Amino acid sequence: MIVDYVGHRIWFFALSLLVILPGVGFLLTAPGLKPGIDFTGGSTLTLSFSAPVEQEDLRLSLADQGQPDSIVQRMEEQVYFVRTKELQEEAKNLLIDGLVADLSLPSGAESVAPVIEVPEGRSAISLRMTQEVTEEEIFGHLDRLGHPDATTASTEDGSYMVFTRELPDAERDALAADLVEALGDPIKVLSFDLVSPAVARETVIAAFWAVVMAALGVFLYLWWAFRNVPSPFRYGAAAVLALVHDSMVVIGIFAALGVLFDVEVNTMFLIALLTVIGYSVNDTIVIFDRIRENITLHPNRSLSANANLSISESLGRSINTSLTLLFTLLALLLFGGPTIRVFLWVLVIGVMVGTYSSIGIATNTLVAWESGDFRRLFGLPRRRASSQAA
Amino acid sequence: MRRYARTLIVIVVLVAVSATLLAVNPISVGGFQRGGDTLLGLSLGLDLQGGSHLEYEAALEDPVTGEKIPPTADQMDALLRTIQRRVNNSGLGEPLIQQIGEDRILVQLPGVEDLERAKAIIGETARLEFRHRVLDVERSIDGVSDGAAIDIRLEMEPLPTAAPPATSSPESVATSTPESTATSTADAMTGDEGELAPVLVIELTEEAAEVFEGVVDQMRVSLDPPPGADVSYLNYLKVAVQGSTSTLTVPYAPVALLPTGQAIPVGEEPYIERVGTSTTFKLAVWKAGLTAEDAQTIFPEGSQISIVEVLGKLDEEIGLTGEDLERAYPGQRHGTGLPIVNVEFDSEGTRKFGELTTEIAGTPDLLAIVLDDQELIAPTVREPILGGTAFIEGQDFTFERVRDISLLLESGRLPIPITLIKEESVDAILGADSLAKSVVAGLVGLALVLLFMALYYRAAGIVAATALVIYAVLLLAIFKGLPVTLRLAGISAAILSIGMAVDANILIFERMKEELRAGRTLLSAVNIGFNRAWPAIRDSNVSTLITCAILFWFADTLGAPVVQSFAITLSIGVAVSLFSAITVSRTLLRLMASTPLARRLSIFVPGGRSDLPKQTAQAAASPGA
Repeated sequence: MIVDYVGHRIWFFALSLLVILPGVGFLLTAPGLKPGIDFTGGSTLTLSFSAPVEQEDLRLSLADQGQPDSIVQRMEEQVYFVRTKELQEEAKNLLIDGLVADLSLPSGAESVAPVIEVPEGRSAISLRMTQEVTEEEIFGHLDRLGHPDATTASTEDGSYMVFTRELPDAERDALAADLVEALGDPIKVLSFDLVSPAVARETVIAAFWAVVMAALGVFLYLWWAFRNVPSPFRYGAAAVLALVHDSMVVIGIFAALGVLFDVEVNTMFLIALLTVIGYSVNDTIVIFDRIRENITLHPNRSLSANANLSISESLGRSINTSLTLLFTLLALLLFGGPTIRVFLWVLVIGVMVGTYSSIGIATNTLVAWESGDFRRLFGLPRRRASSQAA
Repeated sequence: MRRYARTLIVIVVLVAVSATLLAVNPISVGGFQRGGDTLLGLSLGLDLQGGSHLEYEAALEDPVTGEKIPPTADQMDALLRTIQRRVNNSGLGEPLIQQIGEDRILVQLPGVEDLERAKAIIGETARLEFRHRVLDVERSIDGVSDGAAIDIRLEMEPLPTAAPPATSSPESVATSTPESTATSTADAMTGDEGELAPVLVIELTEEAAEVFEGVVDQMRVSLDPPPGADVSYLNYLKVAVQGSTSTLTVPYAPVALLPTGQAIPVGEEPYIERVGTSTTFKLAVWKAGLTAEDAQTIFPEGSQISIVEVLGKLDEEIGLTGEDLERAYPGQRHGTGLPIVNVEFDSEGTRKFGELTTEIAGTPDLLAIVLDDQELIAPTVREPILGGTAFIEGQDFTFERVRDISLLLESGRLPIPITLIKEESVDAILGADSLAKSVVAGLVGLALVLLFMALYYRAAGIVAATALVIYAVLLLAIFKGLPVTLRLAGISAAILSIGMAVDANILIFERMKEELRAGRTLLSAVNIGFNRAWPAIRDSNVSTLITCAILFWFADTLGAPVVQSFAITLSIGVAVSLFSAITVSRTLLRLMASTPLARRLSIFVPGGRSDLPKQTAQAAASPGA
């Protein structure tokens, strides 16, 4: 019992339109596909933390502060190089405050009992710090607090000694507290700059044209490969249509996500899209091959009948192939790291849509073409039937 | 069994070699070096591997004031592109290059191998100049020559007590230790202390003294060869007397000339010195070997003495630079086999070079070639070179250095000079923690796939699983061996090609299943199944290869490295997958078909015995079928 897939092709087309049209709508609404920092550039920050911070925690915290797609690279134990969306001074300060709160960072400095002898006529403050501090910074604060004549020394255990003129205990302790507050920033911003895009617009445009030319290449190859079958160029056209369809679905979905949930697309998205296109073409060709074989075996059957037969025969294989890929992708999504999530989701959607489109779109286009559906659609008169439509 | 033995051996050997290639880390056999700190020693891109974080600042200075000039947006843009070209062509891996702020550049490079070379390739300005170098050029000194000096006269001074009179051999001068004291310029005919030594006293105006100080300083500097060169170009003072033909040439200090042309100072004491802070200079001609009598003969009382400067070299920049080159490529010199840089000038450059060499040919003048103020070489020119091609030799040229210089010349000099202001190491863009998890997850996923294949397609599935493992090993070994730098794009392409490899196997099995259901033996099912699945496998893989070729070509021309990386990795994946399907899967299946297992058809069919037509099942069950 063979299901009449192609007889119900109208439903397949309708389903596709149902998904694509809103997607296109979202694409045209601002901002459509939301470009991420790879494309727009943004800000870079070098942050020095007062205590060791896990990369995972920092990433989560940044996401909470509205920077889910920031790029985090560790430089040293407590120093990270972070790329975010463009930030003005105020926004940066808010971000830092948020991080401090989120990560419960301790003060980076504390006042401890001096471990060396205090010279006559001087008072001493001993500071232990968990971050790098420059002498300039210390002197700067000392100046500000009214002790331009103080001197410093660093001791073997990593603490700093500050020697001032003789002070009463209370004043000395107050000064120590001031210094701790001034120098003990849980997060020191070592650098804060605006940064240009990592990927030029030209690259995206270049990629687009490369794909267009590749699609042309596929079309031509299929025209040649299917030359022994009636109307060979339709196969190439249908395959390219399926390719476009898959791309539009993916782009449409991410445009919707961009408008509704501020999801951004980076270079990763581009790579995943290329992969989806590759998979889609591959999948479509396998089914077309079946159709060709069946036409050669049963040349007197209608295209619709051969198509239905081919689909039934290939269904097992199509599902299995896509399942194997989906297994791997799902494992990666569930257990893998957070940074490639967008990439994986595009692939998951792409594999499913690619499998669907080979049957629902590519094959149905062939049949529709054959049956003169398009002519009917455009109001053209039916051609004398030299082909046999169901 | 024997028929497939040969293929089987080939497969086993390939797998063994690949596995070894992957397992041994690092590898260093002869000139073949691979591997390092990364997983399996694979070459990984910046998104997957940590690396170096370099920050450069534009270092454009006003030549007069030394103040910094901020670069324009165009300059920064050109700078970014030039650096991108350089790094991409250097084989250092694909960099991340971004402009920071108004005048800084961030470059992140994967891995830390060859960091010094990377910094050189990025940071060298690479300004190549061809200069017309004239030797021994006389120049008058403002305020000193042509009678402009207040007075130049010969005086006699007592020699410092410890020193014997200087002779003309440098050795004795070197052993003397005169203390130079500023004595007054009053008459020095004391006679008692020791011999009298002739000294030329030069009195100048305030202004002229400054100028002359500069000249003397240059003379001192000229003792050393210019940066990068072997040869010194000494500046001299030429002392002449009006009406007489005798002249005296005096360098800054006594020197000995090595055969290479380098001048070695052989004494600390200069010939010429300023007297304290006055505007008077003393030229101690006695140190040059002149006795008192000789001096009085050459410089008689009341004679007009004039002093001019002789420059060891004067370079004329004629505007022929690296910008006028069409090509630069490394090579070897005929005969000596030493590394050289071959250059070809463009049409304008050929003309200028022809003019330059025509002017210089046959004269003692030199053609000086300078790279970033470092002298490469300054040869004489025998004949004019009109063909527009030349080669450049250098003192410390190694083969790697000429390769890099050619690269720098071809990619163009930096539009503005830059200095390195920060150098850190940084971890992977995708985050080391994230990647570690993903690798584990990926392996889990693959295991699931293999499990599924084995469960669904049963015995054939196990064949497929084996074939896939072999495929993965071969693929990774090729990535390591070529090497292919893997970025996220490459990983994605690899995933796709694995999917296609799985697909190919599934196509074969589905066909086999059909044939078995139609009642064939296992062996014929395998063969027919393969033959009928082949067109689909062939068409999809070939069209993917075509797509890759087109993608690659366009990405290369238009500049989209991400797409390029994807295309290369995918083509390798497809090629290996074709091999894996044709050779590995088929051979293993045929192998199985020729064993007793072949009778138990049920284990090859997803549905088990119930899926097979009744007769075959019965035949399979009974022996001797």
